[in-house]
Amino acid sequence: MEMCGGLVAPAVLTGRVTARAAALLAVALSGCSRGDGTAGSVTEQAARVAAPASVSGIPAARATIMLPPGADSGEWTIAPRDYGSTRYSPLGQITTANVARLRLAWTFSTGVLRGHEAAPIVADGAMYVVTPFPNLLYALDVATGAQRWKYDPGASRASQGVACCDVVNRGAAYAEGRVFFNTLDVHTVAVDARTGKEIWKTKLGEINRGESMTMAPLVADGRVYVGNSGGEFGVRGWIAALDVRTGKVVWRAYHTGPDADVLIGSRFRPFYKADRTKDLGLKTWPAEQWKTGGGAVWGWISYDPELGAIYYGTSNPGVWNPAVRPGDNKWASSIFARDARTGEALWAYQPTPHDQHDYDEVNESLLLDLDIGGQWRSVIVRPGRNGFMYVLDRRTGEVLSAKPYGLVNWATGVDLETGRPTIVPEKETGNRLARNVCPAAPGLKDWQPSAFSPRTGLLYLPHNHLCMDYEGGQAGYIAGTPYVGAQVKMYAGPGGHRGVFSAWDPAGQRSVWEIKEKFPVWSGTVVTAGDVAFYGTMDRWFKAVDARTGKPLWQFQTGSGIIGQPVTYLGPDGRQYVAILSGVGGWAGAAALGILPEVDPYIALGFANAMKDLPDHTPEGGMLYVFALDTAGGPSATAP
Amino acid sequence: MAAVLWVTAFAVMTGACGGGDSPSPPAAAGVPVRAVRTSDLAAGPAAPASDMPNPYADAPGAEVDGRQLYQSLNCGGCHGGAGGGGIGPPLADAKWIYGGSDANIYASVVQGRPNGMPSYGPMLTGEPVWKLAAYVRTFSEHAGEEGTDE
Repeated sequence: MEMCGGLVAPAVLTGRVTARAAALLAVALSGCSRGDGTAGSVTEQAARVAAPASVSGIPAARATIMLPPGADSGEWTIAPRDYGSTRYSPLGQITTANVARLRLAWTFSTGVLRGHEAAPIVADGAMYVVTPFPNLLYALDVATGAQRWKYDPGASRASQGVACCDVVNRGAAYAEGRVFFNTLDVHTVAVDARTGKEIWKTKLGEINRGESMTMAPLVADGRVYVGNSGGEFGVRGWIAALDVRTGKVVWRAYHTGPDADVLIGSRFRPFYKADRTKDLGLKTWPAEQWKTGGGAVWGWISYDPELGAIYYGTSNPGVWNPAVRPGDNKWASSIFARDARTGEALWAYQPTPHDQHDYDEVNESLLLDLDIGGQWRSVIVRPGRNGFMYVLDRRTGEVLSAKPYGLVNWATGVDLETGRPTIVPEKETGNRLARNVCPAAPGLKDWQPSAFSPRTGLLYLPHNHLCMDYEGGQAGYIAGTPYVGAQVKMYAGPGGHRGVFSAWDPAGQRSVWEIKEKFPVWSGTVVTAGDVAFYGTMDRWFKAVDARTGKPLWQFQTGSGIIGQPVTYLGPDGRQYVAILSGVGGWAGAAALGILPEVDPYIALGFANAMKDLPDHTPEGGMLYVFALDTAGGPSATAP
Repeated sequence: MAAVLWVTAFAVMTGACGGGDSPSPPAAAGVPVRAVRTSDLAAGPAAPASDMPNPYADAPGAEVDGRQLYQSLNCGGCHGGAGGGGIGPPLADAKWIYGGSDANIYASVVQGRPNGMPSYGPMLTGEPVWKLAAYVRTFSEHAGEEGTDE
């Protein structure tokens, strides 16, 4: 956990083949890397040789890269790569100088034609890819792409009817020789990484209550952390920890209802006084509304091994129309810190009380250290869906800053005394039409995860540039059917572009550079020690840019739009690879999946209206692309 | 399952004047049982048409009632308020996965369909579903002109 001082021979180097060891040593020399060799996590710290992001000449943001135990620098074992969700890779073979020589190494068709949001997982020489429904899990050889096995969880076809925003899956997780993932029909599965045989399968919810699962599990310290989806179906949101060995539920916490269900007890110390009242999960709702109050966990979970805590956020409250649910609606659209072992809530904070715009709070929590007023603080940086970049004290939940990182007009700011947003009355919704609300319902940034480079001190943000008209209306709860009660119509923000890929200085709280994109940037991103950042676009380009300047360096046209999460890894041949799934869809890509926004602008919860031209740019698809540097002056080929 | 529900639907039709919300199974005895056909391709000799007229097709206000049901049953949450689709397929085109006759639509609503269409049979059958089917068909009335794959 501590910052790396001198170069310590990394434990991860032992027992590796020569080419791989050499490459890893290069990683170690380009920065430093240390493992504690026991039960803790391996940590890495990139050398701060970078040109600084701050005016003082030294990056005022840094991160201790906490890899899961057993993972090495060349692998990618959980979707966020490291427990702090930095998605920073210390691999440095591919650089700004040579990325133009990136060539296709191999491809793989998943056989599925829906939105592919998953991060390919790389561990022990294999790549694990989980597809959108029917949630097939493939094991592939990382070097050749050869298929080792395929596992079909037999997910219920009916579960597609409770997936609000395409039948996506955000990836698997690897630990202790097992691959873990969630199925749309609300099961968590553990599969033997070597054989593809199912080890356990735990049913955690019920599609007949509108529940589904789409998130990538986090595995840490012997537990698999998972949560449900279904904020548009009136679910009662929860997070659960399962035993890695048995799949048994160790603890489960709900996000609405009495404190006992939320696992709020004697250790709960929220920073803001108003949050210390008992049973807010009941009292901030009318009557029984909390039972269908949302607060699902379909996004990202981070883990701090030193504090033994997990950090994550909850989804929008149900029903969308806020007029039906006066009150703060806790703990929907909230951030939680919990004891990873027991699930006890340590603190909570609700960035968007009484959400009126579908501002879920499920986005990633980057565990960083920021120089604030000359003092290094352990913080969480969260690019909020509501448009504010929240910096919170990791231990207390105090909001240290909250600046908009793009166009925000629903609130003028965040009051740091109370933690509450200052809302603009004309942008309030309920039983009225609110026009030109920015950001739109998918937020300034939705689930698409950002990355942080300790070399540049910058955060890389794939995000949206959309506004909307929103009018609340009637909604009746019928279990297993949508529970929304709002007419939404989205469109491009000022300037006409709908997406942005930008670099943000979290210490200086300012945007450093921005790249405008035609469509929302609905893919994740990765940034490397070669100072290259990768992302994909919905109009089928996989791009590499200079992490310092944003200068485009390389691009490749894939078969279908990209909404997946790029990863990078070291092959057994010692070469650095970059992998991305192509396959348009997701909420943003609904318009490419055969629906009719031209006759009905409110479909796909209003998103399709902003994406009418998407089918002119991409068909459906489902293909994995893996790239490596061109070595001998031609595309890599495998001897027959 | 399909055959049983079809019998129910038929019984509703024959007993419509009595307010067909609670058809009595004995009344269905002797009624020819036909499965809902969802394919234009028939194996063997040409099969008889599976269409059955909507007993409420000419009832005053059927489509208005159907529209109200479409909204209150959250149909629009998946198929779109104007039938443009979303979680479920569009209704405002000429493509029908499980058949586009009123009887086909009736069966889809009551039975559910395997890729996510819930079965509304436990909630309602009979008259309201026929009216809903009449309304659903209005979305596609002009859609055939677009040259879809029918």
